[in-house]
Amino acid sequence: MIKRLATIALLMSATSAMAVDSPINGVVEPKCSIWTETNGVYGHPLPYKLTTKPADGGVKAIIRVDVAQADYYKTKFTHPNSFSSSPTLNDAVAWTGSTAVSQVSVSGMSAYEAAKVTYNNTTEFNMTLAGSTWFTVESEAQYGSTKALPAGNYTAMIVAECIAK
Amino acid sequence: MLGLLVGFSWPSYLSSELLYGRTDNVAKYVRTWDMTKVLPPDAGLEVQGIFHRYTITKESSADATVSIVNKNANGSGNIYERHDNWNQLPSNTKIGFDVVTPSLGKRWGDGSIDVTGEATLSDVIVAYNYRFDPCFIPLSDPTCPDYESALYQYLLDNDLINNEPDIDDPYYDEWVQYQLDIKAEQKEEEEAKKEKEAEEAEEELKMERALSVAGAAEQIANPMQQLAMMQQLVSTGTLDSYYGATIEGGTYEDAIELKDAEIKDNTRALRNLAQDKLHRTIVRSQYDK
Repeated sequence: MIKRLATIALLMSATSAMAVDSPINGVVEPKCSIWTETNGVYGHPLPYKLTTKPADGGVKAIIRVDVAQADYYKTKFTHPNSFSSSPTLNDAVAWTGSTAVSQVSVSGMSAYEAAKVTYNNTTEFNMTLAGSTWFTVESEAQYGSTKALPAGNYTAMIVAECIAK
Repeated sequence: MLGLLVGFSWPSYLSSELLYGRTDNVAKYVRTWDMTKVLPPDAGLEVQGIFHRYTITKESSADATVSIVNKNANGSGNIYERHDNWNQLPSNTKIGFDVVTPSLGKRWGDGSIDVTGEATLSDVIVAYNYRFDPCFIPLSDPTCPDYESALYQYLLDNDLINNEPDIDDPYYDEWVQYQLDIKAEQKEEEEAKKEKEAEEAEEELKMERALSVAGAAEQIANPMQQLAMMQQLVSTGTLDSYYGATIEGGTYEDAIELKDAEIKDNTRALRNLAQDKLHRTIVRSQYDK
């Protein structure tokens, strides 16, 4: 009798066992965010030159990077080497630019500037501290050797990225 | 007076909102400042954050520390302090905002920003974020939620409920208004009372009228009264059309007319009658034996 009961119990447990997919959900909030605080503006001091230098009537772009978790990210800024929109240009454009730390929320971030790595038109910063860092991006375009730029609207893009280390 | 007390004890559902603000740049011209001249004088004001921005100029190899401090006005030490270490760091501009546990502005003593070491500061901005309840003192504004109860308490504490205060009293106008309100309230109560009395009188009159109708019914049941009423009705011609009608004399012929020439017997009725007779005979036979 005991055996029979045990068998029934096993059968019951066998029928109640089912395959169930039980998901585990998680949301990853960004710990690094990039904000454009000031849009850059090209000044036009000479017929062949566009520049963001304030002395030449331009405005440097200011980009803020907020890092919530220290030493997990690096940021990469690429200043322009082409116009995203412009009148038709028949000659080459010579591009220059730079990115620098302009303001910090933690004094130690001031060391980012000395430790930055620059290659081609890209500048990388190692974000070792949590907080906000303001970066200033300069851009300058020179058309031909000294050829006058055609009249019209010119737009160039800065690419700012936050990359996990 | 009891009604008045109850009236004042009713909660008011107006709500006061906290107001938030930020001081001007307290370090625009100086490196130390007096907080009593920086913060608004509002009672209950609390400091809840400090914003700072400065540019430090130095050699990268030099050591320097920038300190922003507020002394504790109610004791020794500092109620707030921040020390930025710029040792071996290049020049830069620093921006920061420190959130602090809100504390009364009166506790915040003299503030300062200073740099030690081989460095100079420029473009310094220090500003305090604060908040306060405009109804922290309910008597400060008649629109405050607890204004009425606070005013009543003030008048009570200063024995001014029934005594006129000095005209220089800060709440003299409020006292006048208070007295006017009392009079208005009393007038309203009196009017309400009069209205209620008038309504009650009207109800009573209606009842009397109903009762007077009931008395008339008794009078109608009296034969003498009925006779008098009939005489009155006839005299007014109301029943004249019935009593005064005349019928012409002569012969009035029967007007019945039978249209069918033959009337058939009702066989069903006859059958029933026969059955009734048979039944009676059967019943009767029981007694005849």
